[in-house]
Amino acid sequence: MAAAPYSIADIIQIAQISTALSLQDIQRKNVYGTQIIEKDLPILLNMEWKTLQWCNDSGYDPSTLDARGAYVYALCIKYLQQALTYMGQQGGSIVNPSTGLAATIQSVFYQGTVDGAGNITLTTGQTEIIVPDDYIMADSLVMIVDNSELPVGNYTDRYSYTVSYSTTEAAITFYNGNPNVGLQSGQIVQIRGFKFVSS
Amino acid sequence: MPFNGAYTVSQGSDPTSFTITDTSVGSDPNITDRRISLFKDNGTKLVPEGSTTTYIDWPLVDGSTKTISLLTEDTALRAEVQWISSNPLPPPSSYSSTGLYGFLAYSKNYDAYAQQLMITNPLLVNNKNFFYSRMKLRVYMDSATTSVQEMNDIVSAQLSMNLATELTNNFNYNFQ
Repeated sequence: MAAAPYSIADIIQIAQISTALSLQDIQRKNVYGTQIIEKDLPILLNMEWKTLQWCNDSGYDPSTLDARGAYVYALCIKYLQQALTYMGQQGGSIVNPSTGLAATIQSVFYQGTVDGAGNITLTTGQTEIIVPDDYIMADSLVMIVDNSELPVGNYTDRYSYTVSYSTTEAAITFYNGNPNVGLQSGQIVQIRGFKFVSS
Repeated sequence: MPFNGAYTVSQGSDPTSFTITDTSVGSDPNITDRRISLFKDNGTKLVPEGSTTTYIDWPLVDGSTKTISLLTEDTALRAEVQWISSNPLPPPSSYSSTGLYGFLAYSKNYDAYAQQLMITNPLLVNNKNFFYSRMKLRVYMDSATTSVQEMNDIVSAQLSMNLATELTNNFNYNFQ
């Protein structure tokens, strides 16, 4: 049995929370199974995390510990996401999917006038705008031109845009007609989105 | 500075033994020896086989920890440690400390073995005899721990331990 992707201490906590969640399931009559594994899962989980905890604390046959952890983890699979949410103090734990590390979310905001001022430089005819932030959340960027939010895609009859995301930046391609004449002088452009920041 | 004798007790996975650690605070240069007395639930003292005293000697030269190997089954014990001083300091110094402890590693070894069987054969979860026996074993162990930690009741603790021992002594029958 392969090792579980969490520490033994975390698995014990996941199993403790899963015990309560599985009991809630039964109380809400969400469990109709007749197998012990379904209707007595709270009892089984309660037994197994305690046994795992003792094996971990006492040093009982360390060669079996990973398999024990994986076994208890597998019993918790149905409730894993809920349990992890509770372990993140019920606010939901945020993980940067690119790094797998805990993160917070911060806003990304740029605004500028084409050929004018702003915290991003924009010039007439420009069709590509680089947003220079790390770990921008995929599909979070929105482009607004002269107070109108643009559709995503490549439309020849209206302003539109597409975005290519990487871990170090996002590249926006702006479409304005065919041929694409790009940004026009005096337009006010806003770019809003979110990014992951290591916590 | 007054002397206050204190100790902690721990048991690992070896069911035959437990370890006492001297955590006394303060100092008394006249302390010459330490003695450990172990009382069972029926009031009798437990000493290693062949002992000529009713206590277990714990000389200072042995250091701050002492491993005692004399358990043949899960046992609740009231342990009293005495620090012997040729010229004891007056109160608030104290030279004796007592606590109740439940040693459950025999049952816990069986429980760990039963878990290992379930990992090897997941279908055992549907074996009602096996599952019910594990449930009983867990209840007996938890009850013994509660009797010690919450109730300070050595008789209740030993009763739960005896039920666990009875269950595991016939492991192959009860967990088939």
